[in-house]
Amino acid sequence: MKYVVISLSTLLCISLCFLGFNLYNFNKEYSKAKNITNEIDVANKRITEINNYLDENNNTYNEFVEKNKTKIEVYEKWLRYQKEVTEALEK
Amino acid sequence: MAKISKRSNRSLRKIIIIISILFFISITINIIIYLKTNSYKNNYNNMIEQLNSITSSKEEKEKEYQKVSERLDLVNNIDERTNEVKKDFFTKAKQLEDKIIAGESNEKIVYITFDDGPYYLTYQFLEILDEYDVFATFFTIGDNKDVCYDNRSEDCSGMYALEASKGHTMANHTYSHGIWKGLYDSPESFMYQVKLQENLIKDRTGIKTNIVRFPGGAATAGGYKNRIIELLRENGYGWINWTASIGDGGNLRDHNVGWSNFVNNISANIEVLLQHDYNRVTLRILPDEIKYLKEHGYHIFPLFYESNMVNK
Repeated sequence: MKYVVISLSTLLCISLCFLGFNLYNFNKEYSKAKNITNEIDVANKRITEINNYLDENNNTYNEFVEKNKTKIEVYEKWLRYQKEVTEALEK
Repeated sequence: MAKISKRSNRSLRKIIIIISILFFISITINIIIYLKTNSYKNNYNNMIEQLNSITSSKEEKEKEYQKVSERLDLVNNIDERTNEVKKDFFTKAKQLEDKIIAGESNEKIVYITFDDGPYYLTYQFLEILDEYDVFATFFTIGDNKDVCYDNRSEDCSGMYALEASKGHTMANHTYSHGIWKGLYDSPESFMYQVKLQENLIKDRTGIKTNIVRFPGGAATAGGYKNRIIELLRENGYGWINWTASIGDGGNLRDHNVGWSNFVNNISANIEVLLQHDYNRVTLRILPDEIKYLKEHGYHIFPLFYESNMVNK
């Protein structure tokens, strides 16, 4: 009887050790998974934010470009002039 | 004794049952946790793939966001941005002039200028300048300009704003251009006409002019020239004549003459080319002039106050 108790206690101890080990592994994997899920959530949230921003502002931008085409062309022309004079100075 | 042994056996049996139950519970929990851990492990690669794909699409979106926000920043502050670039251009163009004058650079600059406008023909000049991506300088006058001289059914009043909106330099050629109508009667009469034109341009474009060209050239002011220059300086103006002309100020009708005048006059490393935006010969040869100047290494710049060519 005594030996049965000792054997069973040993098995229980071993099993508890395994339990500790498994819990440690579980916690490790769970943390990793949780981090990834968080990162995915954050990325998705940012994508939604950007999509909303783009939806709102693409129209504003397009409207502005439509209304101020000449201003933008003139700005780009000045940029070309700036580049030309910078290159001429460097020669 | 037998009674004690029997009780002890019963206790041991109870302990065995308890330990066995605990053992099975522990085994069961172990198995559950092991399976759960494995499911996380198996899912891990999928999650990483999902994360990578979301991250890359997020990066693309971020780039798009950056592009749109930069564009929005630009369009919301387009005037400021344009002024910043212009300011930098003027500083560098002045430095380039300094180097050319000091003989430290072989670069060449030409300032294409048009006097006496606007005219109805100015539309076509502006189209050519647009087509060749060139900024010029317009020394405008104001008297009777609401009706185009060269097409009296048309209104030229919007031309100042059009020239300015296309980025050309707006300069002052006095309101009346009245060389024989009292412009040079006194320094004050000259300044009065400068101020009238300044107000007109300011009113039509929002720009305050700071470069003047004397109608007929500075020498036409005769004995008043120095006093006028003093007054111009006091009012924040510089003044400029020209170094090259195609002779279109009168009634030039032969484009061969115009072209030969142009070619014979362009030789210095910095040229200020005088032309008139009412002349059809000038309009006709303008594209060839621009090509010629570019082929001969000239940078075609718009005039600016800080330029060495503008006398202060």
